[in-house]
Amino acid sequence: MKTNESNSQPSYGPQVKRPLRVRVLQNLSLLLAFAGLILLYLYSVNRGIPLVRAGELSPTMNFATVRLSGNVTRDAYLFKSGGVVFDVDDGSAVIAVMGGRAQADALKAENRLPRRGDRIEVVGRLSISAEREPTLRLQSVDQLRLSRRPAAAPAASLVRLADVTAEQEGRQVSVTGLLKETSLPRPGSKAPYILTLEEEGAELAVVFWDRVFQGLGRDIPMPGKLISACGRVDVYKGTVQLKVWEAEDLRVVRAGE
Amino acid sequence: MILPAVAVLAGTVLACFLAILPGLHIYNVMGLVAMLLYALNGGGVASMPEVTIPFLIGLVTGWSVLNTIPSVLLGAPDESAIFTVLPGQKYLMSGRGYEGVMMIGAGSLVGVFMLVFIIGPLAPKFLPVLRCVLNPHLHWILWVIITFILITEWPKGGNWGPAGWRKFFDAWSTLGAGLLTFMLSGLLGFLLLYRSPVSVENAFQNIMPAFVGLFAIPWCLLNAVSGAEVPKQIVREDLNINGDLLLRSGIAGGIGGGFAAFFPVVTGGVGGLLAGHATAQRDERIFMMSQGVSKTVYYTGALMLFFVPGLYLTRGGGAWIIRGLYTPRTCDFYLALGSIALSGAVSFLLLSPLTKWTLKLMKKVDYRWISVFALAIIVALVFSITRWTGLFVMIVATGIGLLPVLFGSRRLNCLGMLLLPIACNMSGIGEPVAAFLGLL
Repeated sequence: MKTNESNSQPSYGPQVKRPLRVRVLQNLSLLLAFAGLILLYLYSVNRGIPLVRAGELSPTMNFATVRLSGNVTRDAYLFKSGGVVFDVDDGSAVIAVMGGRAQADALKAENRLPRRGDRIEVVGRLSISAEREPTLRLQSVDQLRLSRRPAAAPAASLVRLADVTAEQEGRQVSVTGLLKETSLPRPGSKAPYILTLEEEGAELAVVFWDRVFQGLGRDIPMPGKLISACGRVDVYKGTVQLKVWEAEDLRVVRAGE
Repeated sequence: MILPAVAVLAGTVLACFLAILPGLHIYNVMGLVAMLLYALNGGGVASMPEVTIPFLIGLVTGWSVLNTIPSVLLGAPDESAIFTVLPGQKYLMSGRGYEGVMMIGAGSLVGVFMLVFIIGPLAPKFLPVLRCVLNPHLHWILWVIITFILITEWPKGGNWGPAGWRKFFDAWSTLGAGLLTFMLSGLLGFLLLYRSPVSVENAFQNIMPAFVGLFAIPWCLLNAVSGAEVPKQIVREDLNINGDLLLRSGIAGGIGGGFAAFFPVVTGGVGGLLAGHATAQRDERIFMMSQGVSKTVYYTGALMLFFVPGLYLTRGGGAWIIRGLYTPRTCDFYLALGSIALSGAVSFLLLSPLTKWTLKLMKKVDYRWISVFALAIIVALVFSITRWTGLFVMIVATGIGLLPVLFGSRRLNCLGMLLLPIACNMSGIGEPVAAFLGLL
């Protein structure tokens, strides 16, 4: 450390002729902040939102803002507490799309609640759980493009119970089987209703919740009846099951049908 | 039993080395660990929760206790410890850096005790109820916190000289810089939330480069160009504190850190601000220890809340990273509390030898070079996870993060990056603001 002769202040190293003023550094940092932010903004808004496939999502994509395009496979369901959810199949997998109260209200007011079979393109933020179950959270209804289905919704493929395996997870399928047993949740429980179907020795659990139960007129078929169910193949705790979301997708097959 | 204990110790020992590096945040390292675990899982190797959870808790707890060392000795705190710098520097420049570190460390130990013996046992019963009560009010509480942060910035110039415009501008330069920093970082936050330029493949770390730029890089740069010489340090084994001072700092720091851990988006820096306001006028020792309590309760407590049965609250970057890896069960709460206790004890025992070792290292190696080394590691980490766009975001954030450093305002204003967009979203105005900014 030396002493500067002119002002008796300590200085480090030889005195330079034109010392840099702090104000210059301040202005430079302001320039960096403003210019950088503008450039970053221009880059982000001009880059476009990337289109992804639901079947190719990885956990590191969590929180990404992405675009998805596909067919709606489940009618939009409005939560009592506000909010909306519907399923979209983009050909690679099915993903649940969720929106908050504001989005639900806006979609309802504009009569744009997605229905099964509609073609949709939607932008949102990915949320991927530890179980690798992805959901897409809507940012704005302005980022949702909807084309209503022109005719009937594409029918789900009819498969045998024995062919419903974990490899078909996320697929929409139709099955028919003899009702072996029923399992009803306790009053107040959030557990699902489970119908176990049987066909040629193979069994499959058909799972649905209270909304479907209400749609069935609170009437559960008796064991021994032939049941037709259409839903999404899912794997829960290692067991393959069929999740049914609409009451019309679950019916008793009458004699002669 | 043995496996989780070994995993906690491994996490704590790794945290020792990471904590010494100024500017390196544990959440950045956890992001890297998460990427490795995802890669392992993708390759068919299942990670065991009995190992990964204690290891990650050991990392966070160990780091939250041991990062006091660079905060005081190297003047490079993370945002939760920024209030310890001034008193810490005072201790360092009077040759009592070791004492300063150990005092804040004592606060951290109090924080761990509070978590394990008070907050932990009461949390499953009371916190779910508290969440239900507070949930409808979170948006306005966040705005109150923002207002508090902005209005507690004080002018650092304009004290001398005749009254007039020059004095007025002199006084407002600090306040203006604070407001500007808050607004710019808020805009950056909106950009990252709605249209992050970071690659979709690594989006789970999309705010990491911004945090590094706002907080870590400016301090590393400042340290690297700093000309101050650290005087000879004296190691005293007795600390001038007693149970009464510890208790008082524990209450203030526990409230500040607990508030930060429980509320969304509020970070350890805000917890430190609250604890500081409760203690600053009383005693410098209480102030420093309360900061130690606050940051440990914030970091470790936020992680603990993720495991509380009936609550499973995701607060803080660590919990968000673990949430992507694992869904907690009731029994994990005991595993988490045990890991916190073990890691807290070991890291406090390591604090003294590690501080002495760092003081020796500082005699041999210029601490400016340590900062340069840390800077290189941080930049490499950002690049390895988020590539060129991440570096771009980091540079822009550095420009914003340099404003408070160069204009003398509070660095806490950089938290606008999280506070502004989330407060807007919670109040239902996030979407219109994003649309106005052209981000939708």
